[in-house]
Amino acid sequence: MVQIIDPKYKDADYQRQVTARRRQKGKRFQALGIAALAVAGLMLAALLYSIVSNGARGLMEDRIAVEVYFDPAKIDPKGTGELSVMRKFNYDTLVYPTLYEALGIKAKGRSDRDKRRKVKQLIGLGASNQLREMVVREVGRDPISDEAILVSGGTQLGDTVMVELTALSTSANPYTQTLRDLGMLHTRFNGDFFTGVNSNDPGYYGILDALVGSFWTLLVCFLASFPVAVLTAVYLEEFAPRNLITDFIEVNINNLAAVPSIVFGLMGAFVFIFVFGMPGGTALVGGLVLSLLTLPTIIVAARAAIRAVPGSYREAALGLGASRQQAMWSFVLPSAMPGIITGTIIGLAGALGETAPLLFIGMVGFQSGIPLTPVDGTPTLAVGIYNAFGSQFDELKNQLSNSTIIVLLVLLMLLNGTAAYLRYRSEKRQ
Amino acid sequence: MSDDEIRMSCKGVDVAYWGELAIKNVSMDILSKKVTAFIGPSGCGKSTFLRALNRMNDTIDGCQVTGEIKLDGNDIYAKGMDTVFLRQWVGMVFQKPNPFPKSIYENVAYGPRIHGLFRTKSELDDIVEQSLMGAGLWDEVKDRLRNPGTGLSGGQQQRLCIARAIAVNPEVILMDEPASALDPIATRKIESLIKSLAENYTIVIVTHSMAQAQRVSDKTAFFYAASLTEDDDSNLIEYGDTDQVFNNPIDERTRQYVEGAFG
Repeated sequence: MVQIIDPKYKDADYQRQVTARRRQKGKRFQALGIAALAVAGLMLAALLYSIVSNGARGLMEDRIAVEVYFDPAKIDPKGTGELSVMRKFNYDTLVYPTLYEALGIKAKGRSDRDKRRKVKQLIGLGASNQLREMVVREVGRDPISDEAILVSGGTQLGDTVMVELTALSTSANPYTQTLRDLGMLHTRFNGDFFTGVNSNDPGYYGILDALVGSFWTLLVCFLASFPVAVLTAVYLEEFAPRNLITDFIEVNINNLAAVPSIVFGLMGAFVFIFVFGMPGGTALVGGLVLSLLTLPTIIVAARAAIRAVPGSYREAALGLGASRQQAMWSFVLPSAMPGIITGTIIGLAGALGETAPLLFIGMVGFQSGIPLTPVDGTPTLAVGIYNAFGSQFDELKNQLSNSTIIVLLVLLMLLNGTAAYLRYRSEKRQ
Repeated sequence: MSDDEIRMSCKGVDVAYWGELAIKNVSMDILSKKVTAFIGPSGCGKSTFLRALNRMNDTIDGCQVTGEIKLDGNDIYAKGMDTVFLRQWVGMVFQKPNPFPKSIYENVAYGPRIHGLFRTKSELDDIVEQSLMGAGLWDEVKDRLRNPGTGLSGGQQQRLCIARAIAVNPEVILMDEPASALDPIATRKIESLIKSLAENYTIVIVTHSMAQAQRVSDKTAFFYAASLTEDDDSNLIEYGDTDQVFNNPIDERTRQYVEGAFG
C-alpha cells in the first residue's frame, strides 16, 4: 500500500487542474500529429499535382495534318530511281512550304527567318523518318556486304498525300493557335505512347518496350530471388544451429539490405557481364542484379512470417511423429505464405522502381524495339522515365517523362494493393 | 496390482536446461493400460518430465536428458531410436487445443498419411471414423468432416486433437493438462473419455486439478521443485496408487499439497 502523504491529492480543485493539464498535453500532441500529417499530405499532393498535370498532357498529342507533295525534283533530282538515293533526302523539308503558305510566311529571304525557325520547331526528326518510310524502307541488312536491304514504301514520287505528323513543343509556339484555327492542327490521345518504343524524337516516343522489359526483368528477379530467399529464411528459422556463423550470416543479410543499389549495379556489370559473359543491357542481367536487392527484403519478411506461425502447429505435427521437414512443409510454410508473398511483392515493387543499377549494366537508350525474350536489350519503366526526359530539358520530353511516371505509379499501386489485399485476407482467415 | 504390465520404465532420469536441473533423478514405472497422473506445484518439472517420455524436448535448445527411459524394454534415447517412430508409439495431446488449420478430416488423417498407415482411401476413411468415434466426437462432426477443425468449440477441438493422436495407433498417450483451457462440462467429457481410452491405451496426464487426478487416474506421481536444490535425491516425492497418494500419503509435503496447503 502506497502512503499518500500530500493531502492535496484528495483536493478536487487540484484534481481538476491535473486533468486540465493532461488534456492540454493530449491536445498539443494531437495538433502536432495533425500538422505532421498535413505537411506529408501537402508534399504528396505537390508531387502528384506535378506528375499528373504534366503527365496527363503527355498522354495527349498535337497532330498536324498537311498535304505533302513528294517532289521528284527534290528527292531524286537526277531521276535515277535508286532507293538508296531517295533514302538520303531530308523529307521534313517537304512539309515546310505548305505550312509557310498557310501561315503567310515568306519561304525565302531574311525578314521571315525567325518565323520559319519557329515553324520548323513544330516538326521533329520523327516526321522526316515517317515520310521517308512512306517512300523507302529498310527491312534488314545484307549479311555479306552489310548494306541495307531497301524496299519501296508504296508512295511514288510525284504523289500528293495527306499526312498527319506529331507536332512538338506546341504550347510555346506562336503558330499553334493559328494552325488550330485553320483546322490543320488538332489534339488527340497519344496512342503512340503505349504502342511505340523508345525514341530520340519525343513525338514518337512510347513505353511498350520499357513495359515489356520491366515484365521480363521482374520475372527474372522473382525467379532468381524467391526460391533462394524462402529456402534461406526456412533454413535460418527452422533448421540452422545457433552459432557464430549463422549470426554472421544474419547480420550480413541485414547489411545487404542497406547497401546502396548502385553498388549492385557495378557488381552486376562486373560479375554477370564481364566474368560470366552475359549479354549486357538485358532483362536477364537486370533481373539478376535486382534480385540481389529484393533478396534481403524477402528473407526478412519470410523469416518474420515463419516466426509468426503459431508454435502449436509445429508442436502438434512433431507430436504426431512428423519430421521437422514434414512439419515445415505441411503447416509452417503454408501458414507463413501470405506473409512471404506480401514481402515478395513489396520487394518486387522496389525492384520495379530501381534505376541506378540498371543504368550501370547498360539498360538505357536502347532503340531496338520490343524485347521478345529476357536476353534482348531493353530499358525498364524506371529507366524509361530517364530516357524520356533525355539530356536536355524539353517541354514534351518532360511531359512524356511524367506520363511514364504515372504508368509506373499505377503499376506500383496495383502491386502494393495486391500485397495489402493478401495481408487483409490472411488476417481475416485467422 | 502385481500382475500389471510395465509399459515404460524410467531409471535415474535427469533433465537439464543449459545445465540447470529441471528434473532430478526420477525413477518410475508406467503401467500398461492405466492412467498415471503427474501432480505438483507450478514449475516442479512435471511437464518437462512428460515431454521427456516422447523426446519432445529434443526440439528445445539446451535441453539435456540423462538416465534411462525404456518403452517396452527399448531405450528411447538410444542412438538408433528414431523420434518419428517413437512419437507414433507415444503420442501427445497439448494443454491448449491445437488443431491444424485444415478440415476436421484432414486433421485426423494427417498422422496416418505421414506414417503411411493405409493403402486405400476407404481404409483412411475407416481410420478417421474410428478415431473420431474413439474420441467421442464422431456423432457431432460426421456431417461436417470438411469443415475447418478450428471452427469447433474448445472442448470439441481438444477431442479432435485426441482423435488425431489415436489415429496413428499409439501405445502411450501423453496429455499435458488437456482440460485446463476448457469449461467444466467439456472437462467432464474429456475426463470420461480418458477413462474409456485407458481400456486400450496407456495414458499419462499432467494436471493441476487434484480432483481431476482423483477422478481419472489409477496411479499418481507427486513432483516438487524445491527438492531440486535441497538435499532430496529426487524431485519425484511420492509415486503410488492414486487412492493411497491422496488419502494416505507417506510424505508430509505430499499431504500438504493434496490437502491444498500450497500449490
